[in-house]
Amino acid sequence: MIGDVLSYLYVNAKIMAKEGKFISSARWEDLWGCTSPGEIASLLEGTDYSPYLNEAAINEAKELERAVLEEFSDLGREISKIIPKGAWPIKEYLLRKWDIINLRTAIRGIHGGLRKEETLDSFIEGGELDFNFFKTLIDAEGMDDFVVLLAKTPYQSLSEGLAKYNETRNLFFLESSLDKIFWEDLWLKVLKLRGIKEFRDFIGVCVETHNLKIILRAKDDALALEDIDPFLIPECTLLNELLPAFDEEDLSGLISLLEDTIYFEPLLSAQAEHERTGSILSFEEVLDSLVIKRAGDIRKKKPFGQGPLIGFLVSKETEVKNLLAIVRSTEVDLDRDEIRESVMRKQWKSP
Amino acid sequence: MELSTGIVLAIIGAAISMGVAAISAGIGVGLAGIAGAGVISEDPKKFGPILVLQALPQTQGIYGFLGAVLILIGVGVLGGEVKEIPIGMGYAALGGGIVIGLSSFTAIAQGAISASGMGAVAKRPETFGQAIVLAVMAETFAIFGLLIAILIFVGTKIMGG
Repeated sequence: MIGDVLSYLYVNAKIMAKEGKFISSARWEDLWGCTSPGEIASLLEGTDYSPYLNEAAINEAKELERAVLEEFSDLGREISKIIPKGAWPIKEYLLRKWDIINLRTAIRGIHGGLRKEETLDSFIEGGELDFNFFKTLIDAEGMDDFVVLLAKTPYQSLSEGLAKYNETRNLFFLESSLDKIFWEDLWLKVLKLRGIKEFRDFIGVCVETHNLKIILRAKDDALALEDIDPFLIPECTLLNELLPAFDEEDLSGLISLLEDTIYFEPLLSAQAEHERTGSILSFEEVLDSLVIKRAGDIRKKKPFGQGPLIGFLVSKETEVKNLLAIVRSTEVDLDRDEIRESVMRKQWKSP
Repeated sequence: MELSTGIVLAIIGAAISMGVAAISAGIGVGLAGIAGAGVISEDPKKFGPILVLQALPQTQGIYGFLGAVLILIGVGVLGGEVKEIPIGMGYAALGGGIVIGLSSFTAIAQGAISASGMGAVAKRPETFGQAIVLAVMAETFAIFGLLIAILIFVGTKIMGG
């Protein structure tokens, strides 16, 4: 107990100071009224994002998006340096996330046939892999070539999703494979490690929501269990309930199997919207909100130690996601009210 | 010079009063200092309120010092000639020192409260007053300890005898 308090004292004080610089509710309201990157950038003055706002970011949404992501990446690196040594999986969580983001960018670039320079510009520095390695990835001639280049990296098992991708041309298989590598590796590590109970609880919820999203999407797309099985993360108790019934039950039947879990109520509440819109996003949104809520609960339960750090990381990620949604909404003709409603639903105010 | 048992006991009392209080206050100030460094690294402008919160656990150290000085003056080790005091009075001085020493442990809790308060102030500067009040709550028990020690000293004529 005392050890926990002591080792996280500096980190927690620092992150609470950082929380003081989060975008306030009043500023969020103003941000929603913005119609250009310049307006958004002016409202971000005085926040942690302001040092990243260069001339290009003020004029172009894509550059502003990049500025926000760079701030987020630098923050991850900063925190990873001050995390107590015993909590190294949190450091991995912070850094490897950027490898995944960059690999996803590369995959999408290859899939969408983007110009190499365009993909290169979208990479964000900050992961565990050497940043120059990503520059070599854009030379890949196709997806097969890309996966070959990943040999000898922790992401070489992406080849598991390649066959399905080549068969269907559906990015879902490659992206799910990438997510699986990230979450499975982290999950198996935190399961073995003692002294990081709160982080393990948090990763546990992330793993369960990852599996649930795949299962629900597969059911919605009428995929067979064998199609998604390689992308599910093992050592997850939810799978024991859901997988045996996957082929027999429909979507609502699968949800009803979750009755004794924290996922049942949110998924049940999203069912009506799913029936109305036919979009699986309604389920994914409530699951994302659940992860945010869970992080808040962990923080309240454990005000010293890892609790505040987990709460901070999730609330910062939510802030970044919401900010990116606003920046992107200035770029394309989307229903702002709808985005706003979705964003606000996910917003979590730290205690 | 040969010291009587009573004097030796009184000196041990003074040592406990100062020594234990120094350790406790040091830990408390240390806890608050670590958190303070975290806050200042993000926002150097908060140095003022952080310093106030960090100083709070120091007071137990001052109580320990005060208790030790009172004992040493009372038995003549400081500011006069060493008195011949009965063993009973020596035990009383030792008791007073122990009370102050033990009650100074509150500085450790106060340091933790101050550290949390610094986080709260960093996040919401308007909570500074509340953070002080919360930290001061732990202080009251150290004051009670000092008060009891003074009563012991007065009652046994170590002070004012």
